Amino acid sequence: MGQGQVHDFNPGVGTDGLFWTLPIPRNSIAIDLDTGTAAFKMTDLAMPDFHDIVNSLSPNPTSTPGMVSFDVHWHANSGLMALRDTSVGFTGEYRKSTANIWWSAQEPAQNFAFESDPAATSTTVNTAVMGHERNGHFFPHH
Amino acid sequence: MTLSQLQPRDGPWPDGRMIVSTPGGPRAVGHAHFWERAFSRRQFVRAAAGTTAAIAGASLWMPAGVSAARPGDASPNPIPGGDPTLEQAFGKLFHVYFPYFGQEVATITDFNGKLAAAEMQGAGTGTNTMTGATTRYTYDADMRVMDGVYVAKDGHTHRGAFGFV
Repeated sequence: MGQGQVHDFNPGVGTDGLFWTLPIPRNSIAIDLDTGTAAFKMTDLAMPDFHDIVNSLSPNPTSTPGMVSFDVHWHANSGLMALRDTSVGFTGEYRKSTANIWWSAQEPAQNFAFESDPAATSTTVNTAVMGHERNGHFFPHH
Repeated sequence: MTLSQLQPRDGPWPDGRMIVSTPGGPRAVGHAHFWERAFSRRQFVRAAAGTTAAIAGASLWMPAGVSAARPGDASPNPIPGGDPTLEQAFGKLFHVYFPYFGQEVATITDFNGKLAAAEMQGAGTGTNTMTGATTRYTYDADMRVMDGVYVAKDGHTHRGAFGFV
């Protein structure tokens, strides 16, 4: 990886600083803390390609129109654990997890298409997480 | 979702980590976020220098949460903090932390709800749709979801779902 990066699909950083985050239909996700499963699936979601992270986070990034589809599944491998971080300002109950993804991308202007290997071949970096969180206005300071 | 050229010697370790070829020989990755791995030392310096100049000329930037409520705007506000690694690299705060257990994985603030976050790696095939030629790539995907109630820019509490891609 590193200097070999050739594509970077993300929604961009908002003028308000909102980072790579976009509203999605609620039926595209499912999080069940009791069963320890979560899923996030979308098809043909418009997603610009910023080529690499340095360009993506630069003050005036350039991008090419693209489209992605993905299917992500989380599986908890621990019970619920309470966390409270008073310095950052969040609290909640979380389960450690693993996750797998299948995804694809199309970039017609670049004559480029990508499809990942099956989800079972993907690996989780460090420890994934699912949980119920409260931050900001909802973070109890006492 | 980042894509990188797959090196000839690359492949999975028995424990699932990927091997990445480097001038000093293969090394194991999988314990640092791709943002850290994606930067060379030179890129860090270049990015930081370029951003310093840009910030010097940007007088209208305001921290999130400072602006007054915006009627009719149901969009969420970003979390106030962010990981120092990115701030050090670019000379600017980005409102995001790494997607690991124990970290603040939400990217919106004033949020009360369920979420899930993960960084995943793997490989896949890219195709030149004109020629049909294929190339193998490694990828890194940081994916998150948030579903619950949040206080929006309009000052009101809304229910909604957000994805981090």
